[in-house]
Amino acid sequence: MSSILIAGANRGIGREFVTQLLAAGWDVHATARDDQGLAALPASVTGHRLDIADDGSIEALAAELAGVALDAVLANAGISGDVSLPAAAISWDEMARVFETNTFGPLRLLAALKPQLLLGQRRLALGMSSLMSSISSNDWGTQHAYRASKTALNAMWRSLADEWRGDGITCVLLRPGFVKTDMTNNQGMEVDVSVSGMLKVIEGLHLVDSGRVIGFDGLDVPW
Amino acid sequence: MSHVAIIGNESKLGRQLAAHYAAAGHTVSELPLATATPPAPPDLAAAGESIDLAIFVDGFVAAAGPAATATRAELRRALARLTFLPFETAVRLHPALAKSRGRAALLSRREATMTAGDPLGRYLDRPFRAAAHALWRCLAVEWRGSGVECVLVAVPPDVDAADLAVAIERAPNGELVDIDGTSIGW
Repeated sequence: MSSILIAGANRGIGREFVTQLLAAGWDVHATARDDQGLAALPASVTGHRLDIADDGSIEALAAELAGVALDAVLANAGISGDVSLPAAAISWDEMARVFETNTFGPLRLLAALKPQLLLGQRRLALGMSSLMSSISSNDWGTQHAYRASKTALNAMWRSLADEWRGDGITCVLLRPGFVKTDMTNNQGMEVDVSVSGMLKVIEGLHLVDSGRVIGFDGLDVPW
Repeated sequence: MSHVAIIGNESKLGRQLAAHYAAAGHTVSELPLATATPPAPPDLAAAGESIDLAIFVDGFVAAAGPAATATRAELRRALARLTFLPFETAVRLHPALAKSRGRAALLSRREATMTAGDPLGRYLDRPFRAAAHALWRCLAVEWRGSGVECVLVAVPPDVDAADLAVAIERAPNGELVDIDGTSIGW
């Protein structure tokens, strides 16, 4: 049985990953930030409290999972920030807040859980990117902090792929597409379609794919 | 004769560019890049009423190493210095740039692109320069209507200021080019 930890699993895309991975027979560790989120998880997963923006929380999770083999870690937690802000209204606090969750958190989480990945068979270090991370695709501007945080995440995963290739760890970012979630005001494609596509991508990953950003449709996101 | 603002005059390249443009007869304003977290934008009073060219140059050198050694405090400092401060300063300069339909030039590095390898672990540099690329592209798109162009040049080591000035002048809006003017992607 393959095992995975999903960070940010109590709603939206993370919650659907839990559902589909359980159905596929995976051993699922799932995180939420608070009791309400943990209560929303199915009884068949191992729940953990995690605030990905807090290093103390990440360290506590790593201690809880000491000696546990994980085939995959999926850093799914993310925020959009206030996407309505024009460039002139973006404060340092807003920029830092978005990066803490979308960029620093995934890096810190994966670094903390590397020992668990090394105990696993598949060794997949996964995170969530976005088409908004693509600079070449940006012909309309807006959503500055979110875009920048995801572009930076792409760059971090590229570096992580180089660093961890020798350990046999495959570092890949996934693009869910425009999905009906709280972040999109419930507009877009059905979440099960997106997650089903991303699971198909995950199932086919090998070390040679490390450093890629791959969409739910199997296509690479252009830089 | 034009007004050139050099943002980042504490760097060697910033000083060289300031000297180059002054020698060529341009009015040059020099501003430092602050290093505090949260960052304080540079004093723009010296920039005057209109700016034809604002050049953002940064000699910031971050430590490289394994991912596990990059602390959150270090990541925040790099975000402030390499991403947020140039962005916020460019936004504040936009009215002055718009008056002369000028351009904002961000000097970056080829090593910050996604296609470059990273054998050293530049977690405190590369992602934040890449994020700045993303923001410059945003501004390039959003400021088209005001006539302000946002260009990016990947600067090689020991570049000649005169050659760099030519590259900045010729760089297309919203693209990252090398010193020869070739688009190098992101």
